[in-house]
Amino acid sequence: MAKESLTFALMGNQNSGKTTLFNRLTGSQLHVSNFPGVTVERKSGRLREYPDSEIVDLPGIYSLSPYSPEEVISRNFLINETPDCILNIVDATSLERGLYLTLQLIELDIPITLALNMIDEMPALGRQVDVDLLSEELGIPVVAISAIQNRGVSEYMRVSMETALNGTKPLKPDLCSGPVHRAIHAIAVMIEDHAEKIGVTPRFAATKLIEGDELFVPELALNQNELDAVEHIVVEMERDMETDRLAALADMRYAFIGEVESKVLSSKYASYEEAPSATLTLDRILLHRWFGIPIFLGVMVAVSWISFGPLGQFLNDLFADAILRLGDYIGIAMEQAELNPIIRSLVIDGIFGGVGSVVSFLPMILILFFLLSLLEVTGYMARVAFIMDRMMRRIGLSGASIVPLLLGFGCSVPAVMATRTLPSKRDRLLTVLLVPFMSCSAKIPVYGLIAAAIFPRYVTLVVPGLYMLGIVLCVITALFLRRTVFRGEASPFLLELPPYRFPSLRSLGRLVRRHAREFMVRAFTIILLVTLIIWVLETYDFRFFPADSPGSSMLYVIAGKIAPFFAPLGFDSTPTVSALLAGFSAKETIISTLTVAISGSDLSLNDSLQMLLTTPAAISFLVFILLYTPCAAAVAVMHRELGIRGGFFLIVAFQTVLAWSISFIVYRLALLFGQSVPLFLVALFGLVALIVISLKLINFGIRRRNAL
Amino acid sequence: MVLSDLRIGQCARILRVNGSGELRRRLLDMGLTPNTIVKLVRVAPLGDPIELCLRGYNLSLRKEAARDIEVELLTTEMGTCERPCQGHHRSRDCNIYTACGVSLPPDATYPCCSESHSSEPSQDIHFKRGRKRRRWQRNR
Repeated sequence: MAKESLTFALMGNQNSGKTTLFNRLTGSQLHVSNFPGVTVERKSGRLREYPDSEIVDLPGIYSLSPYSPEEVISRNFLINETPDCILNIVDATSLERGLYLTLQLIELDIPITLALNMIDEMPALGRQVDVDLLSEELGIPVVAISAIQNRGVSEYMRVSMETALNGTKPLKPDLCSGPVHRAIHAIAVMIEDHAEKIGVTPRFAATKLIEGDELFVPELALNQNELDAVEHIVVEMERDMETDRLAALADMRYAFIGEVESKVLSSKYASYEEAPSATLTLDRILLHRWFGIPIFLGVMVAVSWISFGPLGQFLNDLFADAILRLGDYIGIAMEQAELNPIIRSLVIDGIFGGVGSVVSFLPMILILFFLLSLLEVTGYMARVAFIMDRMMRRIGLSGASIVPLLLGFGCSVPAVMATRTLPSKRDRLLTVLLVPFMSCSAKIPVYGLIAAAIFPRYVTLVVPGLYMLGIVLCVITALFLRRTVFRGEASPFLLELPPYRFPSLRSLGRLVRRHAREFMVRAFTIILLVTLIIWVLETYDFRFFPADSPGSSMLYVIAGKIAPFFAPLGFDSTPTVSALLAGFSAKETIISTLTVAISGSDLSLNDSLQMLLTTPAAISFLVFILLYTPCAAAVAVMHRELGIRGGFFLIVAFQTVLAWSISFIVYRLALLFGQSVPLFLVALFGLVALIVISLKLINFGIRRRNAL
Repeated sequence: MVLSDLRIGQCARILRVNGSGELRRRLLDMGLTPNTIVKLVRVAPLGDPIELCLRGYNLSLRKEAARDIEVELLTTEMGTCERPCQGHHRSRDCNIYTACGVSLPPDATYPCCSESHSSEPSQDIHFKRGRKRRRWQRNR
């Protein structure tokens, strides 16, 4: 072997079957990390048949232009880390668009092989590709494969291995003609030494110069004379082509592809009208003008019902039960061993109690992830983005973001993890930040209990009101973030609607398994730590003796100390504040902590709650619970997805400060409108409407001024 | 005429792609280059993104972007081709694409294309459906 280990880079369009091929080629050993500095996933693995070689799965892209982080990363990887061979995967059913990327890759003059995927679908479409001729035309090895059926994959890998070992570069790096061709060559000759200095081919450098690539051109370090000369050549080319440089280049590539395609592709049908297809029929129903949105909502309800409903609940209980039993078993064993009761309590109440609540999430997350991946792989998710885009655009997101947000009503943890399916990084971050505004299902019992105790007549009014408030604040926050942190253009919405496809179950299973492991490993550490801390605070006093009454625990004392901060919100009693603190481990614990804290008195829970909270204070308390920091598990995954240092504390601080401010406003309003809940709700939403209208007016004003 | 003016089922040839920056670049990269033939397949339920068919695949984009693309309507009375994008058809010496295998009518102004598309335009049933939809759109 010429080299100790070989590196392969897997490149291709989205939906070209990259992931399936990657899974076929690598074994179970998978290394997932982020690309340095950005939160774009970098997956790499060892080749199953050639364990010395590594394969890196680059993000699915359509072109090597310098815009989205995915493209920049892929390009930098190819230029800087020069893989031994590029594995370019192209969907044979949309050959033309796939080859557009191939042409750009060939320009790089790195050994490259082409996998013509989904060849199994071609007979049904009545089409046929002459693989040998395609290989000859492009000057690179081409192998027809079907990643899903595992056909041709090992043959493809054998060819790629050979290409990599021999370092066979593309035979025909010059794939173009006409005035653009002349311009490229003129420039390439001129800048040859500059390009070689930074280790790229003159031809690639020339194309980038014509494209006016802001990231790449400065690297070439041309002097002003040379830049002027280049500009002159390009302007001349534009005149000859009667179009501008970008269009000319794209046109040149597509013209070449068209020529190749007309030679290699033959079809049974004169026009493709006769070719049968299920996609059209499905789309006619799923994207129907009136039924499209109801069907989408129905799908979402079904997904949530399966994962959060009886099935998920059952599995969760089963899991939690198993952990509890294991805990009991170990507890008894420890008792028999006559261990220090404090250690026993730590293991049983702290670790098993804490872990139990987290691990019981797992079945739910797995089911949800399985279903979402199913929607993604079959091609429905792209349709969701298509259907919902108009609605989501108003808050600066694209249509696909609706899915994580809706899932947020179930549980924030899987909702945040679901943002991974979003195509752009900006959308991902913004969506992650908005998920906590969707009131999660763990808060329902809390709302129910408090509302029933304080204003029993208005439960049905107050609880939906809280949900509405969350949504409204989500919209306002999104608008605010769009103007500040996420300024600049959203990445353009240009979405391919792929044909519907049956998924490969093995590939899906692998995906789900990976997410499960990641959730366990990454989120676990923080969640366990936080639950342990809360447990220690709850059970011990400051001398680290077990607290004899709830009133002497550290949690209670700390709550007493910070309670004055909540005086302006109306609920500065120690039990409420300690319940809020405990709620950080999981929202359900708010109730249990409250119950324990007030169990000393002889009054019933309802009566003691009424003693603690006046009506305005109860409203402000509920609003605070709606908005304040998400539970530790959710913050942990949010931190992971955001990938910002200190993200954990940033989220906690942001949500808590926001909750405090909104609760303050709500409390003051509630005080004004006395004890009448309906009147208060009207006033609250009146205020919100006022804010929205004034924002709109200001916006309108700005636009008018800009227009003038 | 711009791309967003098309009605469902209509085909057009791209004349020019205006606009600037990333969006324009992406449009070109996705194959919306001058002389490409595209077909408006469908409009999203809420009336915004639109779905196009070009170069053998389906692409959705916002009307905002579609307004930057100048097109020329191929024919007003073309039968709607209800088949999905399966590819395009073109003859060797013709530089104009036809989207989704749409049959151009015999009197199309692109002689090199009509040669290879001498087959009859879409069947009657498609015509009827197309007319009905257009009437419905007008009333709207």
